[in-house]
Amino acid sequence: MFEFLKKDILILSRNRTELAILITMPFILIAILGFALRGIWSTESEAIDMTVGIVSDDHEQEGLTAFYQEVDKLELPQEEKQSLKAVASKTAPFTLLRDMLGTDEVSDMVTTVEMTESEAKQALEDEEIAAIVTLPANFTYKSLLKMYIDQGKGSAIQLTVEEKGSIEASIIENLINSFTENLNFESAISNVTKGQYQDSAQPMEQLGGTTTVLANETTITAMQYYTIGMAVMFALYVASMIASEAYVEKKQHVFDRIILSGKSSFAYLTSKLISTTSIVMIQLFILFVLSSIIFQTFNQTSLVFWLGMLLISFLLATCIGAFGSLLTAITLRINSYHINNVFSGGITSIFAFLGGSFFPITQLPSMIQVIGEWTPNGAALAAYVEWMQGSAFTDIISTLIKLIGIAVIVFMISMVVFPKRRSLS
Amino acid sequence: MLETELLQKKFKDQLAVDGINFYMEKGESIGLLGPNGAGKSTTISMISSLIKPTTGDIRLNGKSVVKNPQLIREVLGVVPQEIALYEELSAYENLKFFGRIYKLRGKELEKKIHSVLNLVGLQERQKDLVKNYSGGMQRRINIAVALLHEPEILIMDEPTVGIDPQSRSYILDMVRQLNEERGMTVLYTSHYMEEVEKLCDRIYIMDHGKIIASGTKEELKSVLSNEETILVDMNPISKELMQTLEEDDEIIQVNEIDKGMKLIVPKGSNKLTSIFHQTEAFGVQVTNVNVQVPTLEDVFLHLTGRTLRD
Ligand SMILES: Nc1ncnc2c1ncn2[C@@H]1O[C@H](COP(=O)(O)OP(=O)(O)OP(=O)(O)O)[C@@H](O)[C@H]1O
Ligand SMILES: [Mg+2]
Repeated sequence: MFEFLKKDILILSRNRTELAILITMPFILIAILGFALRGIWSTESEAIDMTVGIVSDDHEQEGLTAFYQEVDKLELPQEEKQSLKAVASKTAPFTLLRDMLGTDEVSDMVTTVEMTESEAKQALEDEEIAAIVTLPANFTYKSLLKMYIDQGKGSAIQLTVEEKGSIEASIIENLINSFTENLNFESAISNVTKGQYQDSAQPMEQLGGTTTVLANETTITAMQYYTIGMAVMFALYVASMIASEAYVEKKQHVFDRIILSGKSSFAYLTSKLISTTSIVMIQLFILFVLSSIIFQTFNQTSLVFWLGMLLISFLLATCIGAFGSLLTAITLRINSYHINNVFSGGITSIFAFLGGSFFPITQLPSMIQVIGEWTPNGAALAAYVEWMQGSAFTDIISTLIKLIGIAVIVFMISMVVFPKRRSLS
Repeated sequence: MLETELLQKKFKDQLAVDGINFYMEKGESIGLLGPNGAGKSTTISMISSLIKPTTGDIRLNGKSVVKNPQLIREVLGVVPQEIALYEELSAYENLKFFGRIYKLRGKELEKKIHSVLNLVGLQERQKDLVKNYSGGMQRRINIAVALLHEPEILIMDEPTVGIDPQSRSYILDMVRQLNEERGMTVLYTSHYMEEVEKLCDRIYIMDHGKIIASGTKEELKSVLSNEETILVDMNPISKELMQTLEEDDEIIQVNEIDKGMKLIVPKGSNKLTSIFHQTEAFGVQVTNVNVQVPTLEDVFLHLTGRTLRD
């Protein structure tokens, strides 16, 4: 079998047009779509780009000073007081909130403007902003007291939204909720470790960590999405290329030579499956690596992450391999390469559209979504996206099984369609 | 060693091969001769197990090949009429691929590639892509591939079609060498009489799907032993003259050829005088006259009333 693969790769590598279709074109499209749609793109499926007004009745510096005075009243060794103050100054809640809103993942969706209360109300009415985040008076002071000394009731951030339940509203609500939860978590830990304030730098890092996980759950970048979208779309072309090569082999009688060598036509069909699968794997590898190097698309270094990517890629490649042998079977059956033009010219684009290569299919009617999820590229895209969002392996298993199912069914059809020449004996 | 029995192939309602009986002994070199569309390639495809006969049987050493194609595939090397190679691969890469599908590996494969490249004289150009080869070189590699696994039987379907005389005589010498020195059994298809005449022990002549004559070339020519051929170059070529000559009972056949006409007459009939009479009567100038012993070309003409290549 290896000789078939080697031959197919050699032939493909000498065809500039095909190389361009497999590597250059998707790469250019990744660059164009990834950059052009950056910012107006998110997994929330509609382009989220909202402005949030921040109204602060709090004075951070004064709050800190007041907190320091409370610390001084405590009966603690002097150095502990100092370190508590230092930690508090670093974890002042307003600063943390600003940091959180300023991370890349959040600022892609949310722009913040600090304004006065009346300005904010007007802006909300005029729909210039989607929500008002109000920090009440003494927010810093009260929060710090609650967090580090467990005094008072803390302070609540107030959220005013224009339309309860809208995507914008729930996003900002989510953000603020998880932020305050983290603050409470922070305070819980600082209580547990009371007296060891040096260590409270630890929970602060955890706070940051939690924020990152939150961002991962909701956001993958446009660049990531289109790297996957274009890769799975252009991978489909390998199937028709390999089948067209089969037509040439038939027409130029090399196919006869292969049969005369004693190879069964089933072995020939399998060689097409293997070649298509392997070439798709190589193609995906090149695209992902290129995109990572040039656009820093995937900067994950975890082995598990890449193993997952490898598994999804392999199943997608096998699926397309099955399509490769189906197209080969049809090509040889009807003795014409037209089916390959139909596939590469039409079916591939339809698959790409339905499978979400151009935009997420959650925007399409649900009937079409269901079909889209059953295209090899659509299923793979869904699995990739979930995996990249940090989903557990068990969450993508059903999609992976779908890919295996498609591959098995399509390959079996190809065996039925394949002309039953006497050479099968 | 190899024989066919009433071999027949029907494509829809066209009878491409119509009941062929033919045999080949080990070490023989057999010619299969016939004009375009005679059914030569179809016969070869059936023998080499690529297509199934409509009726009839093919036997290798007494065993039916139709039922068990693997039998013949093991001993067969086929040079197809078309260039059956990967154009985008070099000669070496082609040989390597086909060698490997014949289960040749490693040193043995390299040795065989080296040896067939030597045989077809393309050692130096082996790294070039096949598509950059001349027609003659492509033909030679086309043959080399069929020889790689050292087949017992070599079937060649018009291996010299459309190439320069140099490559052609190179190929002919090579085939003769394979047959004589290595004892390879050869079935050679052509519509060039001279090739078959030079190369083959026995000859089958095919037309319209049937074998119309067979035997050694002497046997075939003896069909014409009572006849001789007269070639007359004339100016202008007069159809009326040829028609008149055809009405002469003593002239067997009249055919128009390049510069004049070709007449087949009974041996010793001394028709020259009366032919000259007629040319004079028609005001035709005779520029050259040639009386020939028959060639296989003439045999074919005699049998079918047509030339091999028209
Ligand atoms: N696959 C096919 N389907 C239909 N008709 C065919 C097929 N193959 C051959 N024929 C017909 O059978 C006849 C014999 O063809 P064949 O190729 O055997 O002739 P040939 O003697 O090899 O001619 P040539 O010297 O031109 O190669 C032709 O009339 C051809 O049109
Ligand atoms: Mg032919």
